[in-house]
Amino acid sequence: MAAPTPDDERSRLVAALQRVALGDRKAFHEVYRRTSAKLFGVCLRIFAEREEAEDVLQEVYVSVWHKAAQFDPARASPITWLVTMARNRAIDRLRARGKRITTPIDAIDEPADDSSSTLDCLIEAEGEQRIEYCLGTLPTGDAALIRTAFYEGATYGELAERSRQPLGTIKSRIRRAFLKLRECLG
Amino acid sequence: MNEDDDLIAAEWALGLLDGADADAAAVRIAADPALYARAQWWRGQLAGLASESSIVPREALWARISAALPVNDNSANLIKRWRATALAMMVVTVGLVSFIVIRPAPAPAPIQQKEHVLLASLVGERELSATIAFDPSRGTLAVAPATIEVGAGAAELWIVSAEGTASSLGVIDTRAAATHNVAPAHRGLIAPGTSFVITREPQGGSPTGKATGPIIASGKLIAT
Repeated sequence: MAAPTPDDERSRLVAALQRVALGDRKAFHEVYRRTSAKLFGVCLRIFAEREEAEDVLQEVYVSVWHKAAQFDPARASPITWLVTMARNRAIDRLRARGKRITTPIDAIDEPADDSSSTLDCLIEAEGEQRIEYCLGTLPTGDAALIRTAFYEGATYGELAERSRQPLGTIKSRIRRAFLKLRECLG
Repeated sequence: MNEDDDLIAAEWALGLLDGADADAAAVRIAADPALYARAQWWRGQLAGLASESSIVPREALWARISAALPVNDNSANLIKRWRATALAMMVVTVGLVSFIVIRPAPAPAPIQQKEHVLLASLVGERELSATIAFDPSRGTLAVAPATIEVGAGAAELWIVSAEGTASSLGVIDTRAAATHNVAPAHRGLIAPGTSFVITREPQGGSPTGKATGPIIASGKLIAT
């Protein structure tokens, strides 16, 4: 059997989400099966403790169940919508605990090799490894700034504070990085 | 897209901006479909970062999530109700149009033939805030809120003209769907592609007649 194309994957997920909007639990399980590894990865990046990451993941999917009707395929790809939801939920929780993240950025590890990529064919579905490849072409520190912003919701101001660099420096580093990314991502 | 605009789209998509900068970017992005599309493009690209660390959760978690769902789910009801309303409005419009067409017309009706209901999803930074539908044949605007958080303030709906000036359509109910009559002066501004924004304002709405608070959602009308 031919491997599903990215478009197939995407439209299956769109269709499943639309059925979830009508209260279809089977479709909900399908959405979970196709996307939970990816969203759990996001949660784990933000909450190192597995239990807490599981709590967040649970909140995310319960919220997917309730909000599936709001998903608009014309405005966003399903996986972007789901990842954005997981990321926002996790960052909100982090902030709600009043836990200000102050980990110095140069201490943030580069992500470990992903050994479970075969588990989720969706990952290949939307050319998403491209961003990893492109981040890999940036100076390590710049890539770390962008990852920190993505995973921890850090703003320019917070990045400057945590990396102990002037705001202007951080802004120009990230902007330069964006321009390189834009070229690389095409 | 020029570099500066592209950078704004990327900064907005990644949530790098604070305070006034973030608001200014949101206003620009709300008003510019190309910029909005670009911001979505960045958001999609960045979402790819999630695949760096896919980790399958343990089996038991699915059972927990499944058990956490409401037994008799009513969650999508508001939306369903909303869709039913939109559909009903469409049916009414189509009905009116056919009536006008079928009627042995003494003179052509002075109403444009294709007066379909126009819909817009107003989206905040994180999620759908409201859906609105304008019925040109009646001059009414139905507003169905989804998630609008204004704290102790009020949510005010604005129509943004092509020149970028905002006219208030009044304070909207953040909890229940409602239908508003649009002042004839404002009706002419409403067409496919028209932008709407919701801002957070003091109770009772903006005291100055101009938006004073941050934009919390925005969207454009599309023809149904």
